[in-house]
Amino acid sequence: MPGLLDTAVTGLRVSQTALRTTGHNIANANTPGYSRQGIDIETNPAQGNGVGFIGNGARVTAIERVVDEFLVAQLRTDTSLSSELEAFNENIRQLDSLLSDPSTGLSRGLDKFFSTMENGADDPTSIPSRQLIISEAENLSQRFNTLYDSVETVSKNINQKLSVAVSQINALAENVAEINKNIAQSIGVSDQPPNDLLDKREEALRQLSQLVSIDVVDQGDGLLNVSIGSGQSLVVGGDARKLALVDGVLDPQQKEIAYQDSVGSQVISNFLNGGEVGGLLDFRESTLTASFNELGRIAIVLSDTFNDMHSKGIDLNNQFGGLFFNDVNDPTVAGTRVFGDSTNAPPSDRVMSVEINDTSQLTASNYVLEVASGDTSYRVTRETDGAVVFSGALPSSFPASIEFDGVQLNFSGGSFQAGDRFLIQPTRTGARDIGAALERPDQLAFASPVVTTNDTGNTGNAQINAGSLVSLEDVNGNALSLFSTPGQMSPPLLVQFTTPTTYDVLDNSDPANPVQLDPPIRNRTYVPGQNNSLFTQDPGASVIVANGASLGIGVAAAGPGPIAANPNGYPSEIFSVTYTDPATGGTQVQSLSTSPDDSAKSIASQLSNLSGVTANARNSMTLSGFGGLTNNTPLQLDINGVDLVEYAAGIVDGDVPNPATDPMAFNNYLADRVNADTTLSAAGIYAVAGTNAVSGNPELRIFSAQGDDFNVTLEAQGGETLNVSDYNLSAVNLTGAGAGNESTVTVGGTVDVELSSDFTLATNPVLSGLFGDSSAPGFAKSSYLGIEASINGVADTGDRFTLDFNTDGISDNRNAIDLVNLSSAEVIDDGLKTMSDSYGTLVELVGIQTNASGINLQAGQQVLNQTEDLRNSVSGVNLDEEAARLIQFEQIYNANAQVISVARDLFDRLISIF
Amino acid sequence: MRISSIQIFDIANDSISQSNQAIAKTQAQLSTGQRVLTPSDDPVASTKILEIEQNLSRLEQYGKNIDIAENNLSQEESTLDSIANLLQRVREIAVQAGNTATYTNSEYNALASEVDSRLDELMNLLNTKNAGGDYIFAGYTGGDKPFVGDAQSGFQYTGTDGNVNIKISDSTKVATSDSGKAVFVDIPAAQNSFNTSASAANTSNPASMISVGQVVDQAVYDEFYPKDMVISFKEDSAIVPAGKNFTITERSTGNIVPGFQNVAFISGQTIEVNGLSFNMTGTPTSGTVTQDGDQFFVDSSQNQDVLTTLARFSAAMKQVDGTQESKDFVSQMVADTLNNTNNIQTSILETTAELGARLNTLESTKELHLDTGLVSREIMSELRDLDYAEAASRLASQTLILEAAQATFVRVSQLTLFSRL
Repeated sequence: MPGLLDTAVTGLRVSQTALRTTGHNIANANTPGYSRQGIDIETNPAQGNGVGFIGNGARVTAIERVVDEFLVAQLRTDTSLSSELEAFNENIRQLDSLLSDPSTGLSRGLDKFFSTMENGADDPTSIPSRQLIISEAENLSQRFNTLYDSVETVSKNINQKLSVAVSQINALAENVAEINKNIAQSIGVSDQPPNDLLDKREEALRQLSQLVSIDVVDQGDGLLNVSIGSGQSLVVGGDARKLALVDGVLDPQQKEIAYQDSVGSQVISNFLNGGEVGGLLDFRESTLTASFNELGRIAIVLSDTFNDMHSKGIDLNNQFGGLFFNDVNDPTVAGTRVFGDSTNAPPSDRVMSVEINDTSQLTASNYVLEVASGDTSYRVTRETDGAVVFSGALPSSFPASIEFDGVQLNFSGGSFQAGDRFLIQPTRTGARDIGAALERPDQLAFASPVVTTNDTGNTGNAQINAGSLVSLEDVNGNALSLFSTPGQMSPPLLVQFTTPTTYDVLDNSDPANPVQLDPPIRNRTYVPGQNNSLFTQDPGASVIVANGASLGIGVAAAGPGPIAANPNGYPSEIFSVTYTDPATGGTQVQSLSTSPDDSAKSIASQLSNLSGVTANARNSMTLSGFGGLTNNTPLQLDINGVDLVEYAAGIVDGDVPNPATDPMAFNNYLADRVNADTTLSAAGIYAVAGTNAVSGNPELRIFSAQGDDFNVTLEAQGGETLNVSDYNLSAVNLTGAGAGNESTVTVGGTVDVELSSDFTLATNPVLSGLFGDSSAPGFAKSSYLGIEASINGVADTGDRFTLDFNTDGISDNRNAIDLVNLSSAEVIDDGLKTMSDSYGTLVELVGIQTNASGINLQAGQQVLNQTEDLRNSVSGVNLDEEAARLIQFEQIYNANAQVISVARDLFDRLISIF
Repeated sequence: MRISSIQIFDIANDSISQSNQAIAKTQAQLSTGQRVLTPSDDPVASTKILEIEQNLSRLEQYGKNIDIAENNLSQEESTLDSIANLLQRVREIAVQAGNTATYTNSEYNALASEVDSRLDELMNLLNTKNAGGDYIFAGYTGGDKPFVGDAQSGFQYTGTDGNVNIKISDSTKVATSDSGKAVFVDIPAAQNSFNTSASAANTSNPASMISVGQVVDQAVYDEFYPKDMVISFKEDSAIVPAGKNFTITERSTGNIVPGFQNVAFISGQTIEVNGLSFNMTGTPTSGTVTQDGDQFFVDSSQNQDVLTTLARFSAAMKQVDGTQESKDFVSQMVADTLNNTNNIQTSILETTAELGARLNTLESTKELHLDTGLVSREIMSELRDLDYAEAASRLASQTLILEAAQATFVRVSQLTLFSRL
């Protein structure tokens, strides 16, 4: 009987425990991380007696959690992934709507700005439209600034969110370590699992995996070790390591996650992935930097191209355009584009700056300059693709500078040394730094500074185009002289046709007496029916004007005719033309040697055969002193084999004017004879009967457009003389010595040599008889004027065209249209994208990332849901189930109680017998 | 599979919140009428939309540009019309003036004074301003009167060559003004003609002047043509007694024109040289031994501007003194004037024709823009706009799903054993 009672009591105990566990399950039905518990029941050992074993009831051996360790681990992984995607998506969605919203995005702003610009171009004198452009430029700048601020806010939010995440990670890690200790203790005290502690730890780990991806390793003894990233330990047994948020080593604006201990901090951000932290870091790296830089690049390109174009126009006050937007290379800005690594060896005295040289080459990447740890060699790496864009050795003297990707990096001074690292951000703050710089509407430079005129007296139908300014600076960035004086072109230019196919460009400062430019642009070939560009468009082009001592008139000779022509006496020389590759510094040399007595025409032709060289020969001479001749037989003047004096029946024709009495008529006669001769005309030789500016005496000027030698032979009565002088005014007198005797002299021509960029010409000997001292400074003079103009059509001798400063050209909108055209100009990525394209690409990039991350997020959440479902399915509490259990155990309890009651009845019955 | 109670709530939560999200999106789409709300909804389409929006705004701007261009061209057209009418009147006068046999000195004077007043009117027309206050025939220098001077000082075009252009499409610019020089100055003359001008470097103040002059002997001048002459004032001491004197040289050669070396200067006296006659007035600055003083240019030209043509015609009529010689000169000038005005009218006609062509270009470009705009809008609408029928039925199905989820939840959540204990 006591056995029955005892057995019933064990039953009561078991069902009580079962009821309590069921109650516990019901109470925790909604507790996060709770795993339902069940009890393990066992029969007590039976008591043996003669008839067999009598059972001793039941007992509870353990209360166990229903849990699937695989699902728990899976849940952590899926949680990490899902929160990473969520953090990424949440942030990128902000950017997505920021960039595309009409009120904040750039697209409408750019459109509006350029529309206003077009209105201005339509009516260039209207002050209200000009005023509108200035305010629209301000609006556009502000739009950039606002966008920058908004992206900056997103960036700051990331730092804040990281900071919160780090403190949560620390708290959770601390929590896990604490629970670890408790669990170890509990397990030490009893053999039973501390179910609720285990649940708590699992929940803490799940929360941790929301923040960052973790690896969990069972150390045994109930202890779990937690590591993050690529194995960086966070919790070891009962100890948790502290994380901290520190300033970025390279970029202080970017906070980084680091281990923090008494010694210092060690950044581990780049190892972390998964969870909210992973999502934030990923977003910052993949999207935020690209957005900052792309916006900045558009701002810089806009500012720079606009400023550049604007500086080429003139405003209502005849001044060249000033800054339209802030200078992209303002010293205060250029210095903020480089950051030294905070771990660079002290003292922190390195001064660097970054200037933008060529916006078309500019990328939207950051760069890192790293000095090798052993020596002074360094290299610059582009972050977007890891390419090394520059490598070299640290400069030994300052200032020094290097160039890559359209950027100029200046080393201004400081103790640069091995191991230094610098972060270069050419475009990051571009959208912050842009600002409208113009203040007054009259400062808008809408007009082109060049105005061209067809002279009203022109007899040909050739037309000069409107002309334009190409550059105000020479190849070295120094101001060109043409527009160096405010409000005028110095000098104004005159294009004068010397023949229908040759022209000179002259200095027209004094319209009554135009003179050659220095270096001259003369004797240029004109091709009717095509566009003839008047000026070289090669900024490095130079011109050498031959001025050697051997040039010009030779030595006279006399003797019985027919006398052989005396050679021009030009020496044989060696010319070498050197090309220096500006990128590599490598050189290529071409040489030629001229023969003795080569004509200027021949020398020019040989030189022109060399690449990079255009030589242009010409010749001229003056015959004067006609008063020293008479028209008596045997007068004959012969030029290059053509007899000029006409004879009739063996004596001088009576129509030939007498030079002694009427030199002017004789002069005109000779000119007509030269110009009428087909041989001479075909060779491009022509004559002008003129008057000497000083003496007032008539003189015959003979020109060769191609640089032929002139061979002049005189036959005249004894003692009669003719003066022959070359273009340098060196003169020789030819003297008559009666019939059959001739006196002759040869006048050689001269050469102008045009060299393309990076070509130089050397002579051997250095003191050249043809070119003069080729070692003298200024031997080759830059011929680049920085303007463009062309003439088209059929020109006549004497036709004139002028180029001058466009004074008061207030209705001129050529520069305004050029400014407008920037809206559709492909100025980004080396002529690939317009500014709008570039912005569109950014919007598209962010859109695609947002879209993809949205889809990924959905998938991630789906996976997480399923895993959660599975876990809940295994470990979750089903209340109906518990209700059934409740009833089940209640009934068992009642039954056991009934057993006790039976036992008591048995006992009472027994007692009542007595 | 075993289901825990929390799953029942989770499923309800998830499905209701998902349905809510979907409905919210459909609602936003319906209320804006746009399918693509942010670029992430359809990144490719939204980039295209940005492009089209930009395109449309550009087209709109081109539309405005075309309107402005049309206004400018219409104004120019009507001004040219007035000038053509004026010239027609001058031609009538010229025909009248051809009656040398019957017309008297005083009648010629009357005709001359009408030509003079037409000249003034013409001057005003040539210096027409647009609504913005800019001279329409001045080329680039719209702020300055382009046609200045009078018969006494010579007529000058002070504007520039070159047209003001307006951009009417990505690749097309249309000139919305014409340089007065091209239309009224560079007019082929009936005979070889000339222009006089004072050098810009002259220092006399008030400026000494050179008159427009006449070709008095065409045959002599044709022989000299096409050379130009430069009149330079020399040092006073070059003549005896010392005084203002000038030398005329031929520009390209420097030859002194025979008989015109150091000629004493008398203000207003007619100078006849190489078949031309003109006079100089004022007090020109004398030169020094080394440097010339004031200079005047007599440039040969095949062209003669409209003002000079009228002025020379008027001058020819004023000089009629009844002699046969003066009447012969008038008939010669009548012939020249008829010829020259004809050339000017041709030039105006050509310009008007060109204006018409430009207006046509504007019109066709405008239509092209309208078409392009329509197509662009259509494409944009396809890319961006919502298919309302589809969206409405989507909304219906989404609300149905939400209602089902809600109803299911209500039913399922009531299914608990505890309520029956």
